Amino acid sequence: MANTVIGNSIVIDGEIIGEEDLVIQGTVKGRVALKESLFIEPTAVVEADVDTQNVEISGQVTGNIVASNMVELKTQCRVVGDIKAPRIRIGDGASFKGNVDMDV
Amino acid sequence: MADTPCVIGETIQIRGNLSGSGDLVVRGRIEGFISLQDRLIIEESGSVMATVESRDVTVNGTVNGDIDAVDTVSLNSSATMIGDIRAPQIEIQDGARFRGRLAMDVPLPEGI
Amino acid sequence: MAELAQETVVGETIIITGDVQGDENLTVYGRIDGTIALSKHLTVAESGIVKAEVQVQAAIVSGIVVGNITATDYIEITVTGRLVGDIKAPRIIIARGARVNGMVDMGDLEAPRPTVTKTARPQLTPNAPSPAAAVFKPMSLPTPRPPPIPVSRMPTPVNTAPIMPIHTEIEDEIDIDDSLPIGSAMPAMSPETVARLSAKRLKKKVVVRKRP
Repeated sequence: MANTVIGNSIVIDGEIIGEEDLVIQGTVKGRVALKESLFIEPTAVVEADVDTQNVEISGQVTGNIVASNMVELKTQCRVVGDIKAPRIRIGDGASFKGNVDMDV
Repeated sequence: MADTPCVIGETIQIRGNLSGSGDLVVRGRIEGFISLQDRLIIEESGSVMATVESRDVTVNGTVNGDIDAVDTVSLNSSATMIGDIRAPQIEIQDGARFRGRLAMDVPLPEGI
Repeated sequence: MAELAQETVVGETIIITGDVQGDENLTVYGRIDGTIALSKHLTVAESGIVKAEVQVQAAIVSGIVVGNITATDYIEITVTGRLVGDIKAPRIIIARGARVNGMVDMGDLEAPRPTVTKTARPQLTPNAPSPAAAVFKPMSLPTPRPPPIPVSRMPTPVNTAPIMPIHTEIEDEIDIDDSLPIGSAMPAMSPETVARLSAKRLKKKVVVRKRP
């Protein structure tokens, strides 16, 4: 389980950099760059460019996503932006608008 | 309903503005501006280079910036801080390192 | 004639205006306006008022201080203390509830953190070995030093009781000269001691004697 949890009443306007898993339940505007996995939960609102190893999205994301391993759009998520990753999974019920590039 | 505390892990760095309610536990690094309605707890590995506004602040790590609290600011024995503290109650434990201003209301009797 | 005091006390109704200096502790229940320079401790009691520049070894403030304090050792503002002024010392302690308005300077923050001073707790030493231990020549005598934590092996308890054969009970202390080093030949026991010890062993056996 992730060590860092951005709770759902937290608003961060800026840049998050880290070497561990991150769970976002709140609002993040700016940029997220991780060496591990990012979990964007249903209550999250992310207006940021994302650069991580894995991303699992159940919330709302507006921004470009780059992952070195996998991006998973889970049911009920809303993603607007380009995704670039070698593996992508878009679940039933996910909303997505953007380009997909799997040729990494 | 109490919010579960938000924890910023040891390898996380945040540059920017952070605001919210609920407790925030910082083990990593935050630069910029923090505005909280409840408690900010900076653990020994935590480092905050920011202006802080909060209800309570407990410092075990490093702070470089001003703290403005509604209730209490505590610098525990492993704390290091440079900056000004404005709060109705301030506690500095033996071993804490601090340089800056303490701004509290100090009621004085007449004639002083 | 009052005997020489160990420290100076300024009583609650006393007001001193001027420069105070000295090489002893000073406790203020009244009021001092001016300057205070001590090579020892200044204590401002709850009723005390000091409106002065203060230079001391240590200052403990439970009352009111208006002025700057410089201490070579520490400054402590207790829960009833109120300070308006700048404080400068390598160690500063401010209790929750104290009221302080001023600059705080602990000097070089890169310098090693001063060790927290509490009244030294007496070192716990295990009981001195009993005289019986000298007789039974234990494998290792307990040492008063706490054992260092071994890094690469299971910790072995150093302070073990002397290892004693299971079947023996010590019912009587033997008069042994403790100044003799362990391993030295025991002095010959007096016949009375021998008889006493032998009698103890015999107690375990049931002796049936027919009445003549």
